[in-house]
Amino acid sequence: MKLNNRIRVYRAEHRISQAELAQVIGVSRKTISTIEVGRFVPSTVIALKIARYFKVPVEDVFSLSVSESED
Amino acid sequence: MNESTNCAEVIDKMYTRLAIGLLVAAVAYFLKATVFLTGPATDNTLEKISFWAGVLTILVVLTGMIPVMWRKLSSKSWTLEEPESYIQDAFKEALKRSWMITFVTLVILKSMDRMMQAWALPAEFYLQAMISLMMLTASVSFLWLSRETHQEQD
Repeated sequence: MKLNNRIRVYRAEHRISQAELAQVIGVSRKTISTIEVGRFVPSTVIALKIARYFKVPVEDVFSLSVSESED
Repeated sequence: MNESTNCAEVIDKMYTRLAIGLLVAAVAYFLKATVFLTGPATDNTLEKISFWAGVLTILVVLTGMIPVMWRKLSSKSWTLEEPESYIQDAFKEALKRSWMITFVTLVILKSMDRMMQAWALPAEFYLQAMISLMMLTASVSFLWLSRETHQEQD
């Protein structure tokens, strides 16, 4: 099971950099960049903060993809 | 945007400095261990280098710790309020890997104890070498985990 996210898409729409989003959420730029590429799985709190910033439900930002072997 | 105002960035910098400090300290301990292997002619030089490496370690770690301590003192908050961070997780993972590598090395050395008795090296050599290994593996693991990849760039 893999956690996908659309943070980069939403950032582009809102024209906001990783550093600016990090500042608003209260994390470091590295944390945002590693969440974006899937190296770091954020806590529920961070996921909700990101979704709240973009004014969308958390499911719109984060989604789970299930591999065929896990079906 | 001023990055220095972001508390999370300050804490990330502290962990990075701590890892660099561990790397320098690992070199210092390694040099101390090599004193037992080299001749007396190099003793003084190696001792001096390891002393200055120790001083450098303290300076690197302090420059990372002071901004965090200053923030805690000025906000008078001593509770655990550190923000969630990839770097913090990477540091914990690096310490875990370092512990595992050191443990496996100790088990291997234990199985070679008869051979080691023949080498007739003092216990201090093994202590310095193991401390050096533990610090080196922790710092290298951390620096590898926290590296910036091409994908991550803005």
